[in-house]
Amino acid sequence: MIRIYLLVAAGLLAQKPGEWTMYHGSHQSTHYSELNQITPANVKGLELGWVFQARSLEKFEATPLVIDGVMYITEAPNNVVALDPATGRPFWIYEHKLPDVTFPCCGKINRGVAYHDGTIFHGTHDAKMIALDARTGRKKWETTLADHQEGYVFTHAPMVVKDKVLIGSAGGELGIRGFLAALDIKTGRELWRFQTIPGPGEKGNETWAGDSWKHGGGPIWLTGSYDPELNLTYWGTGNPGPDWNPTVRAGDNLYSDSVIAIDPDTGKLKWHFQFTPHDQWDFDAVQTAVLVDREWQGRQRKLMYWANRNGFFYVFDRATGEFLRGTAFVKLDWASGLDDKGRPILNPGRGPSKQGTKTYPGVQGGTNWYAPSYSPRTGLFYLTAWENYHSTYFTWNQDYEKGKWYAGGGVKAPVPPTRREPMMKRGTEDGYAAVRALDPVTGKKVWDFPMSDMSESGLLTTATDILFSGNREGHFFALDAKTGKLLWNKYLGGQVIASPITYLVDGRQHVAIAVGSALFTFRLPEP
Amino acid sequence: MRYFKLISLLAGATLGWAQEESSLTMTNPFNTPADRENGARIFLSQCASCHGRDGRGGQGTPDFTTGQFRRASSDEGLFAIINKGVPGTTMPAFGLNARETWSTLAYIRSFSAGRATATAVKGDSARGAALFRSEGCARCHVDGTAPDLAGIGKFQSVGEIRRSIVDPQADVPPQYFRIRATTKAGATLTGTRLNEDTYSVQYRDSSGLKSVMKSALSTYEIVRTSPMPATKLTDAQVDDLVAFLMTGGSR
Ligand code: HEC
Ligand code: HEC
Repeated sequence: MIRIYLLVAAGLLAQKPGEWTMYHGSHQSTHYSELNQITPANVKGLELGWVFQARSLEKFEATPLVIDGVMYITEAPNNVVALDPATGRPFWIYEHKLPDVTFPCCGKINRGVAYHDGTIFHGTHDAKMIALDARTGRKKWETTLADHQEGYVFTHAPMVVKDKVLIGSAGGELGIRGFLAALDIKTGRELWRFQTIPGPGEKGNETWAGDSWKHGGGPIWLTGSYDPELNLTYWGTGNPGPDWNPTVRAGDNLYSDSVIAIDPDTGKLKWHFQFTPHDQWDFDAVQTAVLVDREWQGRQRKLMYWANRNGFFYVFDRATGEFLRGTAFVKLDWASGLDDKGRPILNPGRGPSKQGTKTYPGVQGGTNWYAPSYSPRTGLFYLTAWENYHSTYFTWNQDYEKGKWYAGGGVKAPVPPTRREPMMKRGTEDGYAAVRALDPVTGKKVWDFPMSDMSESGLLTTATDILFSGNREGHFFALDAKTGKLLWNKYLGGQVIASPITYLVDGRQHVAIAVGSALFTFRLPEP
Repeated sequence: MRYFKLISLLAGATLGWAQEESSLTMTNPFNTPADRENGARIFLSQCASCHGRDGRGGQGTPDFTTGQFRRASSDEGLFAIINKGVPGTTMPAFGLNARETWSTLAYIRSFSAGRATATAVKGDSARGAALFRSEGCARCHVDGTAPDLAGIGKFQSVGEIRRSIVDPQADVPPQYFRIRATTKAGATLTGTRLNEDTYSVQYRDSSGLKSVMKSALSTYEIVRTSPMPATKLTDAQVDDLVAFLMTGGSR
């Protein structure tokens, strides 16, 4: 049994160069590629390869996979498409029929699929995991994991670890009780489930006043990371519920807004770190856990980098969960800093109020779920930062009702959370986005590429020190990863709410990015 | 007013809705003219079938133009009613999100604001119409570059319209920002700012629609003041203009 595990693990790691086999590109989630055909010298020559027009006008947040000469992508909400990565022509389309009412908080979106050994795994808005035959697009099995009428909804790409496929549920605005579940990849049978909000008698339940844990949120809506040597998976959890009425849930509200290190064999919690105890702003810790092996203060260590929505950049020892350093990376005023253990030192009077409290950062945070990147060549950590950005946070009383929005308040900001039209009316005084390079050793900014509007685009770096990203304005562009200098830019006219990938097809490097409601690919001209 | 609050408290207590009146301090955070316009869209599509397009109700639904509500009086209480419905009546619970609910409430409240004005506006609408032409308001407001004021009374109160006329510089919406820029070749560019991104700016000047690359500019500034001149009119004349605009005029 152990031998089989090892073989499977080895198979996962031995991804062919030029493939993009999982949501984050690798289990370390660095969003870094060894491909090197596109260079700072020739990037200006990139030309359009092909465009895949999704049949849905919903926000296109999907990141494709490319495996064995086939690309797999989702069309919102729950169609899976297999297509030719050289021409963009589909091989098959699987359409999942949803019930009339499901409760995704923020658009009927989906971020992608997972692949293992000829099977595609996909989480749906009616809280099902489905497994498809990668050759035919036919369903192999389907497992319902929760009641979608209570607000449980799957939006992120599942993650395969050894013989299991893992998924968590969104629903932090609907009073769900978050969980991470592992299913047998062959049968779809549920093997374990970790509740992100501990029940009575479990450690951590005492951090919730009264019965508030029952609708405590703590959703999981982004794919985790995995360290095969430590045999640990890392997941970020979302806000406690109700978001903006913290008075009904006195206490730290574990394990909301945390990183949890979970043993994939047993589902047991090895360690956790809570970024924003007793959150009052909706600072989901749903960001990418970036795993890097590097020296820390004279000693080689297994590190984890984490740029959090709450505006701080954190460094951990990922074997133990030890907090090593945290530094603010954008303007913020809800906390004055972090103590030795990494716990925020709150500024008074920054929480939501009846008349509204203007606080930095705003509700979408200093950054959010879109992928950061780490390049082992430059040693820099890159992220999309929302700078100088605030919201006014309101609170009001609200009782829990099944299937109803349960946020206990609201927010107002001059910057809309997403923008579907190509118009930028406001000035930049209420916030702008930047691609920002941090030195992860000090947390200090090394360079900045500021934009006029916000950006929900993830990042990709390559072995030629190019950084690819997009933005809300509708641009897709390449920067010099060492300096932040603009190398190439294309206006594609739709909002980017996804992360770019790169792959080889017929020996030729491509980059792909979802923009508006289409997937665009670029490549160098044929030699 | 205190009298009515008391009544609704009593009615609430007997009907089990007392908790809604527990906090009277929460006021609607989504109450700008734009919110009300958004609320109007929701009201017309989801509420008007029972409450009437004009909010006057009938057949069991209350008259929103009176400004007095039966089930609650605070914004917070009315918010809860729209969310939860009124059990035992045909008033359903709605799956609107918070922002939509607040915006719809803002629009419902504007029915009574409108009624108050129809009677309380002091000015003379006919005199206002004449001023609108003679003072050059129409020059900007009818040619399409300044906001269309037809029907403004549906979404704005007397106080808000008055403030816009007396103090045009307060709260200039971003779509009326202008630009001032100098090109590297030395030309000065001015106009109404239409759009902008990291690389370019789109604007309109007297000769038409223009687009310029930021890399071609040596200075670039967003002018956030309104081109609308501060009024030299008397209070009474402003009242006339308000009366004219409130009653749907402007053309
Ligand atoms: C199917 C008919 C129906 C629809 C549709 C409907 N209502 Fe009602 N509404 C009623 C009835 C009937 C009442 C009176 C209930 C009572 O108090 O007896 C009412 C009462 C109310 C009240 C309380 C008024 C008071 O005096 O306290 C509010 C506020 C209200 N509705 C808002 C809305 C909004 C906003 C919508 C649309 C989103 C809406 N209603 C849609 C039937 C409807
Ligand atoms: C030079 C052009 C110009 C003239 C003349 C002008 N306005 Fe305006 N007005 C504007 C612009 C531009 C705005 C929008 C920006 C702002 O709020 O100031 C505006 C806004 C308004 C508003 C608020 C509209 C809203 O949707 O909130 C009112 C009311 C108004 N004007 C009334 C008048 C009246 C009455 C006059 C004549 C006494 C007048 N304006 C003259 C340009 C003009």
